Amino acid sequence: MVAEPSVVLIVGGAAGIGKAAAEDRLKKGDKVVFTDINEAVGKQLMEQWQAQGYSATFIQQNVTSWTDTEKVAAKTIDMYGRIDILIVSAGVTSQQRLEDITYKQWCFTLDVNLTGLFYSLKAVIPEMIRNGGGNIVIVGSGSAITGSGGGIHYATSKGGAFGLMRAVADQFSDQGIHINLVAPRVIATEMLDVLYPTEEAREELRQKIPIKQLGTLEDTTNAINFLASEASRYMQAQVMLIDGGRTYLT
Amino acid sequence: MNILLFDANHCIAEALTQSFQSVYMLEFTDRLKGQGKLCQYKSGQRQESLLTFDLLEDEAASIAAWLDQHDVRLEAMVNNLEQVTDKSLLETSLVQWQESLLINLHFPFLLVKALVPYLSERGQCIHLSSTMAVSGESGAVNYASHKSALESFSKSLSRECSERQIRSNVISVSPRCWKETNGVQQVSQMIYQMCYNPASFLNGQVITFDNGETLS
Ligand SMILES: NC(=O)c1ccc[n+]([C@@H]2O[C@H](COP(=O)([O-])OP(=O)(O)OC[C@H]3O[C@@H](n4cnc5c(N)ncnc54)[C@H](O)[C@@H]3O)[C@@H](O)[C@H]2O)c1
Repeated sequence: MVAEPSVVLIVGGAAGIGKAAAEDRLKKGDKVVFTDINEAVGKQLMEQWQAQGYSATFIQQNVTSWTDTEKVAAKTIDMYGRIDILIVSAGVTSQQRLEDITYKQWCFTLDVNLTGLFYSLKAVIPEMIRNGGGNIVIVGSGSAITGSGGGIHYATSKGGAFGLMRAVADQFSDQGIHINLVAPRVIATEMLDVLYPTEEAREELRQKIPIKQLGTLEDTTNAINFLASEASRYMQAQVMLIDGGRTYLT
Repeated sequence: MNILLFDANHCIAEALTQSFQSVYMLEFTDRLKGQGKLCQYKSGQRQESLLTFDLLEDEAASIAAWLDQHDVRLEAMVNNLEQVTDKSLLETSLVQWQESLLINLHFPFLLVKALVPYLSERGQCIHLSSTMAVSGESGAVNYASHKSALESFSKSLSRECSERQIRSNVISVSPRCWKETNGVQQVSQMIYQMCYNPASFLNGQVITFDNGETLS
């Protein structure tokens, strides 16, 4: 069971799903350390949140750098002595066909989305175990299941997160590591703007979703909070789709 | 029928040369550098090497050019590239992680991207994966993760190529199956069936050889 208020580390917390999760945890009174490659936005958010009286700390991090990732874990421990919850949300995508994806783009996507996750887990899990355990929520994607949305490089990188999560659960389940994955699809964030830049394209997309609505940041935050909490204690190494029924009903 | 096997140095290779008339294979001389020779087996006999390749240098363009020049069309590409490191999350070094990515994912990407145009209409990609992708296996964190990624790669590929009626499927094999006396034979028979008796509706799937061990 995690302590309350909790120490929450959010990787990729300066925009979209990660930012919404950070804001929500701050409002709940948690101590939030959030990281992102985007230093300007991260710092600005930190100042804004601190001015509102929240316990927010921003650390600039490129998730593809092991040095950065180790530093983030060490700094969080220095500050609070523990990490109760880890949320890994950093990610990149681009809508391209196989023949148009360069080797560089392929490697970049796998590095950020998969190696970045590997580094985060590798750096944080030992700290969690020292503290008796912790809750981990990976922000994955339904693309891993359907192979669609965001190109083959994206689907591949997100598929890797499933196996990685299961390998981690296989090893650390009996050491207090509670790990699950939330798999959103078509949530209205900047990432969605990359894939569907016009209102027309979004409307077309909306029509393809059984509930005829795009997902919101509230939807992902609710799911992340559930997976990061005691309420989901008996869920382990699971994929929770947040998709308006899109994956299995269409 | 021409098939191309991505790695000659794998237990499935010999079984395939026995059952297929013509098998092209990549014989790696330095796998981590992506260097080797393209060779052909005819009726089980290895022929002269056809060319040397360097995947990191030309991203499989030389292999594509050779197929083009010789007007070779492939009925199937069998992606059997794999790198297994028996290391848990905390034991896995950054280098081991990167090497596993290279062999299990980067090279298949380069080869598939360059060579899909040489698959004949209704041709297919068959990828060998492992049930570890589903069962996790703390002892092989790289492998579990990268094979799981490969399964999504295949699904995405099946969508991309379906316009040309090219299919992509995965055969997922449990470690125990490979160790069975006729395990290799069972997998090679499956590949044979998929090539000689193609099921046009089998696409984007994972066929599992695990004697019911995984069941999820
Ligand atoms: N929005 C969707 O519809 C959707 C659907 C499925 C999955 N997802 C996943 O959810 C996660 C969050 O996506 P989002 O929609 O909030 O996207 P977003 O683009 O709004 O936010 C992603 C954040 O990750 C950060 N980031 C990118 N590369 C980084 C790096 N190298 N190091 C550190 N930070 C980095 C970005 O700066 C950004 O702040 C991603 O992993 C994405 O794949 C999103």
